[in-house]
Amino acid sequence: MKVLLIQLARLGDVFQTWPTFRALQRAGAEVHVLVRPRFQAATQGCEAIAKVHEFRTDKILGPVLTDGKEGLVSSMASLDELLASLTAEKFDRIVNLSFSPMSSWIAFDLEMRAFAEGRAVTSVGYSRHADGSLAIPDDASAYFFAQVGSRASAFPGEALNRISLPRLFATIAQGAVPAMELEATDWSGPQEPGVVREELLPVSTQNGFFAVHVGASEAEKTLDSARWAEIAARVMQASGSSVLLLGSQDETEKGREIARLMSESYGISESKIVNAVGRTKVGDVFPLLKHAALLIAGDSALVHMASLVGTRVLNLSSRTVSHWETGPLSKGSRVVVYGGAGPQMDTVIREATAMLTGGSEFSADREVQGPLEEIASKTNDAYSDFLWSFVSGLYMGTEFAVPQDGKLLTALQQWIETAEIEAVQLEALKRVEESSTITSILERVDEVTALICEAEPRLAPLYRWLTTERSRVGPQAKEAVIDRYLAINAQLSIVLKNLYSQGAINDRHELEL
Amino acid sequence: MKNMNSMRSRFAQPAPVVAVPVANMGQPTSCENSQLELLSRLTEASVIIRSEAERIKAIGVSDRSVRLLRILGEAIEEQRLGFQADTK
Repeated sequence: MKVLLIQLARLGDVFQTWPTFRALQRAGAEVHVLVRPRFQAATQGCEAIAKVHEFRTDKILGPVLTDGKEGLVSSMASLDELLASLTAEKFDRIVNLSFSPMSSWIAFDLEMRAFAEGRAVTSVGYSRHADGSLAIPDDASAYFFAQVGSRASAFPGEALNRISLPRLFATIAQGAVPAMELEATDWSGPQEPGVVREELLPVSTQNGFFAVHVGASEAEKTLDSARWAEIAARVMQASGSSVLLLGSQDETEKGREIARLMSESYGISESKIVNAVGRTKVGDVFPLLKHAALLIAGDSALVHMASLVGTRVLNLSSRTVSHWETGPLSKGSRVVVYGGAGPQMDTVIREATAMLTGGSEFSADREVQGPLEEIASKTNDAYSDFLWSFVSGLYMGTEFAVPQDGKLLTALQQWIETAEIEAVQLEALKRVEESSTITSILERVDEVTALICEAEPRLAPLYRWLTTERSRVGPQAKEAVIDRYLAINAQLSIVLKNLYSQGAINDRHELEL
Repeated sequence: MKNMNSMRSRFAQPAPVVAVPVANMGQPTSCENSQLELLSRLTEASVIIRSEAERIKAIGVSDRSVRLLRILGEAIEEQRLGFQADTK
């Protein structure tokens, strides 16, 4: 079986796909991947990949950008050439893990080309319907659309999903290849581990050395030079460990600044600092991380490389990202979450020192149990716990958290009534050709539903489930669309009534007490 | 019904023309000049693609050219939003 994975996101996303590549290969698949040339380096060393295909943006967009309308023909020809070459591979499965409009069109085009050749190809991940609207064929991708990433966090409150991206990627791929199963051993570095560049190894100490990744793909995902210098210098002083600074060529200046500040402000001898920022290739980093006792980093690709080689990470996670989704997965890693004022430096230094010296202190927000850890239902954030139990109950059938206050019960009651109106109107719509009155009532129902959920943000996950399920209804006959809407409405009503009755029971118990 | 329509149309429509803010309102630096130049070319290409897509849209997405134009249009939009320089 030949499988194409479309992974057109960044370096970190490609590394987070390694476990899926391996699980697919173990299930007997010949694994191909489509990546951007800039991030192709992240596929090197993954033995499970049979072939890498590149989406050459320069070749495809270059002509139309350079020559305008005259160049459009060449751009289309280059794109056509790529898609034809992919079609010639005769893939049995397409797994789109990119979640972007462009990738959905690529997946759709490949499906159409296979169809034109008389072949059926099973596709999971975003694609397109025959009318060009977004198609979300599998439930795992629908979960992603509704509850993961920026769309979920656009609502009040934080992103609620607690399933890591590697596990989500694998779950989506499993929709195409049911026999595949993730194993903890799927998190491992390149089969050929690579040679450690001795000149980049810090001086030997009793507690080894720790690495610091000074950058990330976006400024908000990392810290400034002064903070990194303070962390690196104070952890060195407290733990007796030596340090290795890592980063890309674009971060070279930042690396120099950090080394200078460590020396000038904290008296660290420059000879004890190995500044490898801008001096490594991807292949150099795996063996260095493997040797490191700890990596300290924000939300960056190196966190995922460390997860693959099993090195513990102290992840400084800005509230603008979700450590549940893109945080470290190596056992014993810790996460410190911070807001706009930046992380508590004393906490960071205490945690890093404890991790390096084996101390028992723990004041981080989370400790990671491993790549396939049981997903935590209890944290120190009760609001987030409530919402996660809601999401988990909706999608994974776990027990729902029971509402415990009148405001939520009132909102549930209002939504139940609104959903009942919708069901009646949908049934009525089936019996008539067209009715502007019914359409108008249904539009009003949608507006009221949105208002209820805006007023009670704890219902946001259910609202996102509802809007996503509706968006999955493809172009079809009116009767079929209405039937599908009625089925969604029935599912919604069950959930709402279940929640309401549980909450009402609780309410009564509280009164009796 | 409205939700379904709005969700579907959000993904079905051609990419909107988005203004990218330029933080420095003074004389652009050489880096900003090259970014502005790239932005200008991306905008121009986006208009060309949309105009071509408009011309043949009656055929629908079953036509290969329409799909190629949609991919190109979204690729341009990704460049504009992400402002990545891998088109150079």
